Amino acid sequence: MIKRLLFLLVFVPVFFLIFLGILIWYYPSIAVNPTTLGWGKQYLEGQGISIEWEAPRIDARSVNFWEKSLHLSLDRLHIESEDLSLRSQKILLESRFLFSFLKFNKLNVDRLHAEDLQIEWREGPSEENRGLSGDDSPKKPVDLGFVDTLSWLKLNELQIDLTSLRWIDNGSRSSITGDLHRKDEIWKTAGSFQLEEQNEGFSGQWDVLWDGISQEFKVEVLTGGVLQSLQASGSIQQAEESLTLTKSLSLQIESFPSINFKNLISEWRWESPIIVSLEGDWQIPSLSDAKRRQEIPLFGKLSADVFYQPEKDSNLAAKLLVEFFPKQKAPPVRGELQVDLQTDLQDLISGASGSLGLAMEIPDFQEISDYGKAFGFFVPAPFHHLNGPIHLNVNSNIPESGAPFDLNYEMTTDLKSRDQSVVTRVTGGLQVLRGSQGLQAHRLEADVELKKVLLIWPDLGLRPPPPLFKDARFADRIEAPKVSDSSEDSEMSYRIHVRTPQEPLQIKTHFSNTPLRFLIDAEVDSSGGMQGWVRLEPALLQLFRRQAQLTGGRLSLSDDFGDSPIESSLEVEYAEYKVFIRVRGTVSSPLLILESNPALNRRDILAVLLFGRPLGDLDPGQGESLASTESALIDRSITLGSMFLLASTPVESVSYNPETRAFQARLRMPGGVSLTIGSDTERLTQVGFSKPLGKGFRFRTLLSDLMDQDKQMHISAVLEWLLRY
Amino acid sequence: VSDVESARGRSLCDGRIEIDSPQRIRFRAEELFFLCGSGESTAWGDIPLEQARFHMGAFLQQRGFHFFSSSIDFDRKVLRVNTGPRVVVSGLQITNDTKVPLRRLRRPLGKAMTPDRLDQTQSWIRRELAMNGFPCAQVRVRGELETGLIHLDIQSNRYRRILKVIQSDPVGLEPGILSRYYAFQEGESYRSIPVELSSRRVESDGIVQDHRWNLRCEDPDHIILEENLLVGKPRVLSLALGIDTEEYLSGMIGWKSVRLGKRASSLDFQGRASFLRQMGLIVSNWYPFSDPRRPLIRTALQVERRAESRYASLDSELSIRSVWSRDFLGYSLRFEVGPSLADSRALGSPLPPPSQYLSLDAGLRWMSHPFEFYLSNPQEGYRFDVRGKFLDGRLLSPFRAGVIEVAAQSLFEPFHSDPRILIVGFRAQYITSSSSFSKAERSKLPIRFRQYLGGEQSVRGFSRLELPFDERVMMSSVHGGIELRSDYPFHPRVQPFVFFDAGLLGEESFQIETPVYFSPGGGLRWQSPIGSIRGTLAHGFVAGEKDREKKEKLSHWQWFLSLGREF
Repeated sequence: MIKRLLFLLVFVPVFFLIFLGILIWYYPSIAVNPTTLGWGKQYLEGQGISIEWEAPRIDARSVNFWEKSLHLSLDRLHIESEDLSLRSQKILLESRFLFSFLKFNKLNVDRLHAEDLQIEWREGPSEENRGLSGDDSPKKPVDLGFVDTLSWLKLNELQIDLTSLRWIDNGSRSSITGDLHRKDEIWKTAGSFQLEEQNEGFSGQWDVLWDGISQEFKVEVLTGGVLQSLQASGSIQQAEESLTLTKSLSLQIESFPSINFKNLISEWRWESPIIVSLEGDWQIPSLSDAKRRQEIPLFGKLSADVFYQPEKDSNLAAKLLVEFFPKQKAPPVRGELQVDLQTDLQDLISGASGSLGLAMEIPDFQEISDYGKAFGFFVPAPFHHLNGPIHLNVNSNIPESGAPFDLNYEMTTDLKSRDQSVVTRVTGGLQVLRGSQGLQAHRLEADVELKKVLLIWPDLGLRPPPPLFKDARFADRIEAPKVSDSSEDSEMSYRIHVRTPQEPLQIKTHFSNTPLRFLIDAEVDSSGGMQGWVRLEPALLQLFRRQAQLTGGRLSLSDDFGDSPIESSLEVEYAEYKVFIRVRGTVSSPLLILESNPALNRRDILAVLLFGRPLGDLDPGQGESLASTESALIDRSITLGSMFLLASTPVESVSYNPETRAFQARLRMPGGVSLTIGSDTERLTQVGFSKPLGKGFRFRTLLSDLMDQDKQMHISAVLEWLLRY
Repeated sequence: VSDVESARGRSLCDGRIEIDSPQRIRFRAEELFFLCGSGESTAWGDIPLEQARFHMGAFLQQRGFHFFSSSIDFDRKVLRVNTGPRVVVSGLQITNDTKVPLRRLRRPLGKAMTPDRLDQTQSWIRRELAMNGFPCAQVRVRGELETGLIHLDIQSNRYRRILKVIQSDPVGLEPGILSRYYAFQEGESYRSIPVELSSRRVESDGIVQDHRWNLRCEDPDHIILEENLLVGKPRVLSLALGIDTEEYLSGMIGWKSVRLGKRASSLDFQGRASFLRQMGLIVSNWYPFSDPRRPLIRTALQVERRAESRYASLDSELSIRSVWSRDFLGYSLRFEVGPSLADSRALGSPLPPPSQYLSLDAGLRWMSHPFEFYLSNPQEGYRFDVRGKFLDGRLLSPFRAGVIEVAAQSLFEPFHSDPRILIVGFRAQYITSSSSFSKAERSKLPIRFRQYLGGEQSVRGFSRLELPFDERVMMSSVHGGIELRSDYPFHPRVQPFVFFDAGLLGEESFQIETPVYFSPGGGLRWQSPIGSIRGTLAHGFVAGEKDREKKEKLSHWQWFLSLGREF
């Protein structure tokens, strides 16, 4: 009896449950129907999740013994929880559950449509839970295991019209709108996204096609107003714990040449650490802009291993080898870049450490200068016909803990043309700071060795060079002067040391048969300071219409270039005497000392130098010119340039207006043409009693004398010629 | 510098550069060098088009074209340049911390905005500041292309007083001799006009050939003036020429020896000759004292022959005068007094008889520094002269006589702008003579005691010394005039003006009688490279004259043309 009773107590419920299970197995609508849907809703509301819908239609059927179908349709679905808000105008799900031996095997979603889907995801701890602990806990690394867990899902058709997906995190706000479609194994998604973080952020669009064999996607990101885009296509092979992507990749960043990767094989291994290996060819297809039809490709190979180790501080490491080499129609640049870096994903720049090295060679400077034209770079005269190789080596060890690092470089040039040469070696370092703003060049050190430099000075004859650079005093719009914070020192500092260790710098000029030879040991720095010297070696010059021996010159640099002391000596030999011209003083205010052997007075020496005749043989106009020259010399109104011009050509007349300190010289030129040089500017006011007119003439204003017998007191003027003796 | 090649056919460098411009642009040879290249060397034989474009920007900027655009046709190797419009100056925006009311600068307005224009404007403003006590001011000048404004930011670097003068003494002279020419005092506020005026005086007197100042700003509140000299030879020989319609052609020859003795006395021989006047003059300036405030002794011997339309005379005079001159803030005073011995002879008829007399002469001149400074281009300032000549019949004179003259002149610009919109000038002169001769005996009175009017320097509607119309001997005269001159209205150097002159004469001392002689008129003044040339045309009128015939004869047009004569 008891056994029977126990049997009934056990068997009946079990039988009932089995019966019910069989019934549900064959008729799933018994368990999955609007009523049970309502129970589920009530259960979730008990868990703090509010769900509302209208016109629920649910149809659960048994297709065959191992296959069940579920059709669900909900209008105006609204789910609300503490951290999620989801709304959709209509949800349609057609799915099939596949079983094998009563074990769930796969879910086939034949169709999943979501219309006007709006999701708002409020991530992060709530205000109450946030407490005082802040957000110091280390963030969990990204879990990529979902790739495996999704293997039970088969999605045949997916159509989601995402009207808005907003993801609100502490301090940041993200939103996504777009479509997601999948049909016949082809994924398509397109949409736009926006991330706002404090006052920064970026926005973008994507367009992805994924058909299982080849994948194409395009992402365009607008960050800081600059458009950047990434396009890729390829195939993915998934193994147990690795993913191999074979694809081509195109990266386009505004204001930067686009980069294409071809035959790029990237292998992703989900080990610890996760390793991504890249190997392929890269190409910068064109360095030109759209306006130029010239295209300059740049080719190379890329080999890189990237290690990702979530649990470590330096959780990202990379070894990179980039080779670049010339191909046909490519600029002749060859070399390689080696990078070996470890860094923390959370702090890519400050957390980085390792080493990098660049070795580059431009075998043909002439060719690279031709290519350079395509993107606005040009080699100016007189250097544009130089040819030869340029080598550049850069290496750096990047220390840990975010300390600054130095990029040490060495550049050598061996450039030559028919009549010029530039053989130099530049060594130094560029100190780079790392901070929240990224990398910042902080200080440049350069030691420039002019090993063998021979240049040609432009032959302008007697004319002073015109202004070759635009005057910086003009602007489209001039703002009111701002009060600048002098303590702010964000500009890069530099120190450049130039010297001639082997041969002097040589400059060919038209007033000397042999090049002028300069020895240099000079240093300039970013504070404007200058030190060192420039020495001019003795030379024979064609000045004062005869050969003049330059016995030497020296410029000692000081912080203000105009205050740099200058010393130079010139000897001009005449039949009866020798004239010594010494330049002393400073660059901005040179002082000319004239001496002779046997001794002549200053005016005699000037007369001989300027007019080639002794003082007694000069006509009155030349005497006046002489006086003007002497005045200007005393007043130091003659610049070094004017002094040179005076010395290099026959002088017709010289006038000097002490009122405006304007110096003018009229020079005789071939063909009877006269050339006027000088510092005279338009006078705004005519003043004074007399105005020099040159050649001994002046215009003189007379006020009638107080006790003049003429009863009509008046102002009158005369044209006057005068001679002092 | 002469232009050697322009944008001929709107192309340069054998067609390598094509220029599209609303105006024809001429490039100088040195500019073409950097656009086209030159020479046989590979270094400068050709210029890359990109470099030519770079330089072109600077060259066009020099001409006011700031918005040029360009393109390079790499296939045809051609640089195409469009100069765009020329930017002109629309105004000045001045940030001024000196509180000095600067004059309005009108000159750059409407002109191309170029680097040179900025330099000129900067020079102008520095000069203005130096005139007002800020010689060490720094001026930053920038051009705003959208608006055409020139922005001038002025840092005054403090108002300065003259701390000291570092003098440079010519060899052989006592130290500080040149300070007698200084129009300023140490400790005074710095003004550029008195300082520059001092140099003018030194040079005009010829004591040295060239004189100028170095300004040193190292003291924060003061300025130090450092004298720079070119001494020159001590003797000056000069020849001069003047032209006008009164004296026609006049010539002058002079010889002067300066720096005589340790105190730089001088001896000056002058000869002047025109159709109307011939004169010989020997002047010696003797400085008996080192102190510049003490007087100099001027001795002069002058012989003059005049052949005016009204009379002809031969006058000789030997005079010795003590001359004091002193400068104050903004003006100078000069006082002369001394005896002179004269011989006056009339040539021709009607004739006053020859006479020799001893007189005491005195004169005072009060003249502002700007008037003296702008002497060759009068525009502001004033002068006031009083002089007298007195004869006593008991002392080497056959008769008793005297003449007193008061003259004043003033110019100013009411609109405070530069160039001046309007220069207003006034001048007036009053002369009266007295003598012991009765009215019937006045024909014996030497001509220099008689008064006349007419001419460019008195009433411009009448010819030189045309008044009085008859042979009466006039003892008093007064005349005045106002002139309105416009500076820079349509040409930088040509100035039109209008004027109104009026004058009266009187037969008795200190008495003025009708008729009134007046003349409205106008003229042009051309600031030529050799001095100002003035032409005037005026009509003479007589008011208060009852004699109709006399009135009609005096009413006529009168013109004058002169070199260097000023209002």
